[in-house]
Amino acid sequence: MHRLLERHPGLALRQLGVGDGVLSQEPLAVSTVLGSCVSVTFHCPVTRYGAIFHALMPVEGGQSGRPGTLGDYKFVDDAIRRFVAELYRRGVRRGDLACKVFGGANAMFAEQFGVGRKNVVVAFETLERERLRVVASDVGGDRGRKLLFLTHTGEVFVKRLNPQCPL
Amino acid sequence: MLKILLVDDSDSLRFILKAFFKNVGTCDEAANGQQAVELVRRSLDIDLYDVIFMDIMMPEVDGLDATRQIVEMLDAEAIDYAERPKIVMLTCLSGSKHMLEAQYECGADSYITKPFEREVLFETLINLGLLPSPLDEGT
Repeated sequence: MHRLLERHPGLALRQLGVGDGVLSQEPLAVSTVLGSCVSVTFHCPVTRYGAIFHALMPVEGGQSGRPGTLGDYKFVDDAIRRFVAELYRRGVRRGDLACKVFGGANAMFAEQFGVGRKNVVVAFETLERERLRVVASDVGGDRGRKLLFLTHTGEVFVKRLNPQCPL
Repeated sequence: MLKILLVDDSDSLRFILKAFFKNVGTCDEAANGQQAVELVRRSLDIDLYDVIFMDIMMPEVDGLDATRQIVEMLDAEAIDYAERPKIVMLTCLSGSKHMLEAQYECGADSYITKPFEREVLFETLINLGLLPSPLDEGT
């Protein structure tokens, strides 16, 4: 981390929990830990906007926030649509946005089995419908992931967790 | 130095990738999936690759089939995950179907779509534990 801080002096750190999202034009290092949950990162090199959310479930059931508002990001499809709408509202152009998708590991508990994949399916399909480019993805497997996202560069660093860590 | 296998039917792309990686590893090359499977088979007795960059649309055996065959081969040899070559798809196919199949069915570790930035290749090597990561330094 100290080498990152040398490269980006004054970089603020932010921890992202389940259902949280961040959208910033100021440099931020955002960290989160994913099991079957999914994070999508958005980066625009032209405006230097960066955004990330940590969603728990694939599909919004109608009880989440209004389009264009920031707040609660539990659902993958809803989170993508709201972030994209907000980025466009702030002047970001679709063609300048690069997206990355992470998480969606297979949970060890039977009642949650398959939710990781469903989260990723919805993330990919929603991004496809929005005609956004997924430049990289690191999804699936049986290990959790620790993520660090730099909002101003779009870089995402991932560390796979020990397989004994319950997801 | 990393031992890298570049699998792509484009000579020019393999040339560019080799130039990118010249300071971090040595590269072998395959022009289709069949050649890649054969090179990995031969490496089992010598020195396993650290990472394989695999195109999908190639003649003979495509990249998804080759990935399946390589993962089956490594399973049959009971090679531990940490020791296995990590497989990175590097392809112009950006649809959800291929991204899902590669990572959930075939056993690829990561997926990059063309055209790509050089930085994304190195970010992927870091994230696969093959180059030092800022996350190794503690937070």
